[in-house]
Amino acid sequence: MRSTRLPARSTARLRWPDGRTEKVRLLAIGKSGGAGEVFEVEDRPGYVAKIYHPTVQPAQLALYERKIGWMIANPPALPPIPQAYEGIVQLAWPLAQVMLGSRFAGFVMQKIDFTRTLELDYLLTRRQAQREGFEVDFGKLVTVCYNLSTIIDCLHGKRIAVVDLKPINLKVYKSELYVSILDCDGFHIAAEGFVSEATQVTPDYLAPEFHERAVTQPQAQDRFALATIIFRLLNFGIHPYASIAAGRADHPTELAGRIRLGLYPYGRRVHPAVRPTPASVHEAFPDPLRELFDRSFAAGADGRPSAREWAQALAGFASRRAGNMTMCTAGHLQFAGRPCPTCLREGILRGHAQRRQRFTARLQTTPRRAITHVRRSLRGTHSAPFQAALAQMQPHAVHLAPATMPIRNVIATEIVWTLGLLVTYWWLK
Amino acid sequence: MTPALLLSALAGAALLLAWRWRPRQPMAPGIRVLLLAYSMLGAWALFFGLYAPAGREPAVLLLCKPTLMYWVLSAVLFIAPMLGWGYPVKAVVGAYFVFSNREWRWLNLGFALLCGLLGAANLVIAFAYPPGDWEGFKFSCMVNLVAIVLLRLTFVWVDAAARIIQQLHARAKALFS
Repeated sequence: MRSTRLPARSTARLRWPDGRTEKVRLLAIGKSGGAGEVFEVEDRPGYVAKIYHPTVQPAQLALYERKIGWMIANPPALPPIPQAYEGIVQLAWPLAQVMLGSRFAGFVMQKIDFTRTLELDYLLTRRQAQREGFEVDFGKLVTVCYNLSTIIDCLHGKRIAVVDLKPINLKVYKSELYVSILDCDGFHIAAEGFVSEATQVTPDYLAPEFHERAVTQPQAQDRFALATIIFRLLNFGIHPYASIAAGRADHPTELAGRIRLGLYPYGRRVHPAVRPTPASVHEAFPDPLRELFDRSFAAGADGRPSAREWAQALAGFASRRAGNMTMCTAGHLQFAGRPCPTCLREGILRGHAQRRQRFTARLQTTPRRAITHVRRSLRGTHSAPFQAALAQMQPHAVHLAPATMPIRNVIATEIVWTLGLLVTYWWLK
Repeated sequence: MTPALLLSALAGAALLLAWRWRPRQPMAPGIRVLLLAYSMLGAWALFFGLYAPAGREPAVLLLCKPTLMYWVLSAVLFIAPMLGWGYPVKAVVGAYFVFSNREWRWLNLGFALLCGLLGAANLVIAFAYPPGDWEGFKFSCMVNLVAIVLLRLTFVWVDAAARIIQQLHARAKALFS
């Protein structure tokens, strides 16, 4: 039974696809995931090794060994990258097996330079991206979406699917805008002569048809997750199923429940049961993209668009030469012929801030106004015409004398009254 | 300090504050009598409720306590107007309501009759019905008390609280301006 962790420095053997073996030292860097721990490879700065945790069952490790072996032998052809861009890693794809003694322990992959990249998750919040040194604009976002789509398309061409496709598993190169996909050993593979399932899913990115059962069509799942990520990137992080209930229909509190019920409020046809989040800028998206979103999310939509369709649609916006992106008067990039999403968003937030300010001001004056209202109600001295009329209409039966008694006398009277009440309570109980 | 002493001290402090801040205008004799009656009832309650060992209270009194309370109240409410001592019901309901003397008289009489009837009903139920029924009757009397508290709360305490907040606000404003 293997239960101890690998030491901080340990010797291992790499087995390359051409059969060559090489003795290396692995250096712990303190990065650990659900399935394994990542080590640096001494004297090989461009590579890292993922070593599966010792707690992984032998049967599972054997499955990993088969899968990694197939992946090393069958790397997918990825979208080409200009030669000027060095060191871009689009997939953390296995390159060699790591052996500890005679036993398979993990794999070696190209190292993704974390100083040049940031998590795609950060792009969903402008402020967070800025903190990471990345100035977000719609041109960059569309390019990131395009690059992600092309990678997914390449994988699908090889009958490989990510399945657990979500922003946290994606890295973006800050300058080059290329996307890296992590955790490749969790992919679903359905190649000729080799099948490997992917069991990991994330409910917020899971297509509605797979919420109650296993993912039987991994590419359809990827299409849904890809559309969700693109929607969130272009809509300031708003999830396509983030909504406000509009009717009496069931409106689950969690996103997964809304996905399952197909409560997509951002379609070109209004959904009767839900309304969009007020901060959404989906109205500023161009029609081709809105059509693809509708096909991806709207209930009863036919044919969820493939990654290739997304790539084709986004290519026109990602290319400067196409002229589909223009500059608004405030200097933001926008989709040509549409309102500027950045200005739209700023307007929404400004309006929200003003409303909040007004509300706060009202809140601060509420106690005084409430006291005045209560006193006027008690004395029937309302000056507003409606309130005054209401006061005049009050029945004659009960009237209160104007409060002339000093407040100290009132307190003294009420203390005695309360003590009398307590005495009465004792005698009656 | 024992809980009994603490509660006595609290009641004493409250009374002391009430005495210091008492209204300086003369009190109607009827209300003074009511206050006297309540002082005696309160002293009794304080002694037997907090200081006397359990079981020292006369057993027969246990069943008659509500009746005694109601009839004392009823007697004061009946007798005071007859002697020209005003309407003690004003102290119970609150003198803030603008009623004519005729209305106060009827209110006082109605309250006195109600107390008299409730006192009699307590005797009948306590001695002629099972203990469960008596407990139910006493519970309904508590509901009457709650009704009086709500009346006071709505028409007196809310206004008093509003005045206190307004005065505090004015003082705070004067302090910081």
